[in-house]
Amino acid sequence: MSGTISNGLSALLAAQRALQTTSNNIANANTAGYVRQRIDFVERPGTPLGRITIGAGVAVADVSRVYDQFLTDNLRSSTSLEQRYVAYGDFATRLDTILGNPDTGVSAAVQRFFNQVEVVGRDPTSIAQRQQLLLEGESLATRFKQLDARLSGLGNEIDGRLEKAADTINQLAGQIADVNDQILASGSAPAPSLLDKRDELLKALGTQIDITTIRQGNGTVNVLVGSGQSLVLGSQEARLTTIPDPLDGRRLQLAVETGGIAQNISSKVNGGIVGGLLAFRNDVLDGAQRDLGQLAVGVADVFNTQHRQGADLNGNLGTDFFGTTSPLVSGASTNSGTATAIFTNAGDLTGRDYELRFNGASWSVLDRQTGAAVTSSGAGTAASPLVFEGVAFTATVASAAGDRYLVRPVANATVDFGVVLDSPTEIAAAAPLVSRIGTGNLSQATIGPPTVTDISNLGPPPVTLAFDTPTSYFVSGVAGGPFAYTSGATISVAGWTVQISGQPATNDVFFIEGTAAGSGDNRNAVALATVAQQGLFAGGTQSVSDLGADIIATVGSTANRARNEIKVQEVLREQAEIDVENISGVNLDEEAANMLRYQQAYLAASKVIGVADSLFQNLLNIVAR
Amino acid sequence: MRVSSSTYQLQWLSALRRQQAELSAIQQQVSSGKRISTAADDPAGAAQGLLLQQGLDRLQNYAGNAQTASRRLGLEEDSLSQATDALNRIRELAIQAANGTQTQESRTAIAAEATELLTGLISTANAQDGEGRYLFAGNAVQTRPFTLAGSVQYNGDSGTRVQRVADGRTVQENDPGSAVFVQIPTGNGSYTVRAGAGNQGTASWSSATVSDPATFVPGTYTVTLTPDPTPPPTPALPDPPTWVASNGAIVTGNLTSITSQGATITLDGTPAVGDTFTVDSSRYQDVFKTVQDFITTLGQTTGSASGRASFQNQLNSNLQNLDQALEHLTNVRSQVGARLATIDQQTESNADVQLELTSSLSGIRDIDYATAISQLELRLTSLEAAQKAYARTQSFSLFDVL
Repeated sequence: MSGTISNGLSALLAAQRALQTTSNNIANANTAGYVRQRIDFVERPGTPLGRITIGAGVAVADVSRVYDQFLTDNLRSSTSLEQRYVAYGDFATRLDTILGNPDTGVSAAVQRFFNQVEVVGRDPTSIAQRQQLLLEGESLATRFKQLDARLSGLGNEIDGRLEKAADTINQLAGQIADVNDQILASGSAPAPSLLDKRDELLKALGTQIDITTIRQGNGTVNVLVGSGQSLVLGSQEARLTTIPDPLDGRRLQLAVETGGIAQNISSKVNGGIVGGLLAFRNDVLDGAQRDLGQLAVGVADVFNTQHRQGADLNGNLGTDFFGTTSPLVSGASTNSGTATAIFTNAGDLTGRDYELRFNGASWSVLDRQTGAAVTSSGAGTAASPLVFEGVAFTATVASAAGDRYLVRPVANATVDFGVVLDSPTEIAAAAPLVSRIGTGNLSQATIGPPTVTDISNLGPPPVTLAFDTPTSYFVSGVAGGPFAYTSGATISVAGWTVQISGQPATNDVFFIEGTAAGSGDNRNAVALATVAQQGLFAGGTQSVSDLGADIIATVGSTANRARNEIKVQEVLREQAEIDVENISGVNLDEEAANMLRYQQAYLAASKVIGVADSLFQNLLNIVAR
Repeated sequence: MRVSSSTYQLQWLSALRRQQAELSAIQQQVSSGKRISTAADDPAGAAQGLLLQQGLDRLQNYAGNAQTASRRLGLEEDSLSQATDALNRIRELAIQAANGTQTQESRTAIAAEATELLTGLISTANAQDGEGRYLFAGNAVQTRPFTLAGSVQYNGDSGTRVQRVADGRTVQENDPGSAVFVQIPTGNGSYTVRAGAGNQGTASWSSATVSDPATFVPGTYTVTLTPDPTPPPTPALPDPPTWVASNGAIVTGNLTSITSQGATITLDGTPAVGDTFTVDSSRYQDVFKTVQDFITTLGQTTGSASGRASFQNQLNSNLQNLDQALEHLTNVRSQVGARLATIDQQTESNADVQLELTSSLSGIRDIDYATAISQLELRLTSLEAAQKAYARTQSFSLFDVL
């Protein structure tokens, strides 16, 4: 009889526990990170009665979490990867909005400037149109600076976000270490809620940075970041900090601080928000900013080169229209030497940054981003500068082995870009030389317009070509002669050439003169209008306007790829989430069914007790009689 | 398979989000009319579109350039037409003056009209474009090119300008005054004829040509006429006056010609012994000097027969120079006309290219409304379906029946 009661009691208690577990599942159906719990019953060991053993009821063996470690880890890593692309894609989209809009991007501004060059070519003596060209030049400069400032703004924002992420990571790491501590204290059977909490913390950490977890026998979890630096070791956590790049002070790097030593892990981080931010900065933002700088250098170079080939409204040779820039050299604080760099040829620029290392005897040049070796020549001294890809580098104070420099050729390009001409009359719309036939010439021989071949060695005009016979001539200021004359042949003098055709007569003279002040000549303006289409970069195959189109295509395809990658990662993360949910999530219908089941079990157990009780009462009544 | 209750919601929410994102993208396309709003929408298309847009901008620049060149050439054409009219009138006056019935008074009247025409001609040569730049000053566009100080001086330069009207195609938009009004060859373009200042006879030259270009050598030659010492071959025939030029050519009677070094000059009238005619290489003379020379000739007295011949000789030179000037201006005008035709033709072909580029650009950047609207409908329908499906599945719960 007592066996029946105790069996009934054990069933009653078991059903009670089961109802509690079910109600807890129902209660936490919408709790993030909650892993549904399952109650496991076991038979109680029976009482042997001779040859038979009578069962002794039921006991609760365990309340376990329904859980698959692999799926949970998978969810964490796919969340980490998704967050990487979300962070990356967010910035890529913003970059695309800044540079990728065909109507407001930098190419449109460059085009507007050159449109005004055409207008000046139509009426070269108009001061108003020349003034407008200076203004368009200034607004192009402003556009370059604005765009560069917005890109720098993105860089600063990334720095800020890195700092914030480091804080969040440190906080999470601390909490994980705490939970580890509590689990350690609770011994072999830690509360499911503690395990749920730790998984949730690990997942949150994964959204910030990609982590590796190692489960220890004692129930704790160690967390590694980067290339194996431990962030959480049992109940101890390390600190993540941001440190400035030793060569490039404007950029923060992520480092793990252990024992007072900060170890840079930036290049080892791939996942999470931090991974996305670092990848965007390294692969996209820096490149876009360099492209913008290179475009500024290119526009200034092609325009200045042609502008110097012309003559201005005062009759003077053209000077630089835009200001010029020089490569930015920054050295490590441990360097013993100092150095400078200049451009050798803007057309050789490739849009890369370089790291230079001195081994005590020679320099090696590395692509800053990829680490690939770059071909260079020269010793890096004033007599023999180190020349690579359009840059000449000179160590002004002798370097020692181990000295490192960062050379960023176009880093200052947009800042230095600006119109340096003061007056609209200084715009060189005219060609510098004109030809004229002597008024007393006896023949009808004609002279073509002079062509400047070497502006830097242009002889001083005026020059007179005087024919002493119909077939020979003298050149004023040029020793020797007479020179034999052939009709239509190119006559080459000091930095210019000219052609005379026809049959000159004896004593005929032809004059080559400097363009006078106030000339309406538009030859140089016409030439200036097309310089953006001329090949400059990549061995003369890429024009300034090609580079502008490339910038748009690059930022556009980056944003586009990120957009697609986010879609893919989102699907993968959702699937991982569903996989986890399907194992560990609460199904309310299932719980309802369980509730019915345990309710019936409870009622049945009560009945058992009731039956045992009535049997007992009957027995007592019999005994009492 | 076990499905947790929140899976439904997760799946539905993500489906909803995706549908809404696509809907919003299409909605944005439909409302802006653009398929590409930033490069991310179609990177290759955006880059190509940018180059097409630059091509269109260039065409617009070419159109502006062509308009400017066309306007200036049109003004030049007007000026040249006025100058030609004036010269034609002066030529008429010269022919009128050559008529033997003219008196000193009528010639003075002719000179007065010619002087007026000369003033007009100078002001035509000083024409300005709409922006106040001198058309015929070469590149010295702010300098008045022709000024009268005794003779007419050219103050411009010989600069020419071009405007780009297509890729690799330029059109000259001006002709310097030196090329239009100054560098005009005298005489017949090869040589001039000048009667000796002391000629006593009544001979005047009436035509001067290069009869044999192969043997013509430019230079200065003087022909002195002396009587032929040999007697006439047949004494029975009347004895026409026979002359020998210094180069040995026999000149017989009236309307005869002297040929020397490939040049042939025809003489009218009877020369006196020792009369000379000199042949000079042509050189440049400005049109104003030609007209001034004509006015000077008109002022000459023609009392004697030899004076009459001298007048005729000079008038012949003036006429020849006027003809040269007219021919020269006609040439320049036809060049201007050719350039205007080039511009028109290029403008037309630019318009074709522009149409093509615009439609390519539109194909890349703009949406196709029919497709976009049907896409929009499709998205709306599937969004609605997703919502209904969710509502249906969520309306079932075991708790409802407990």
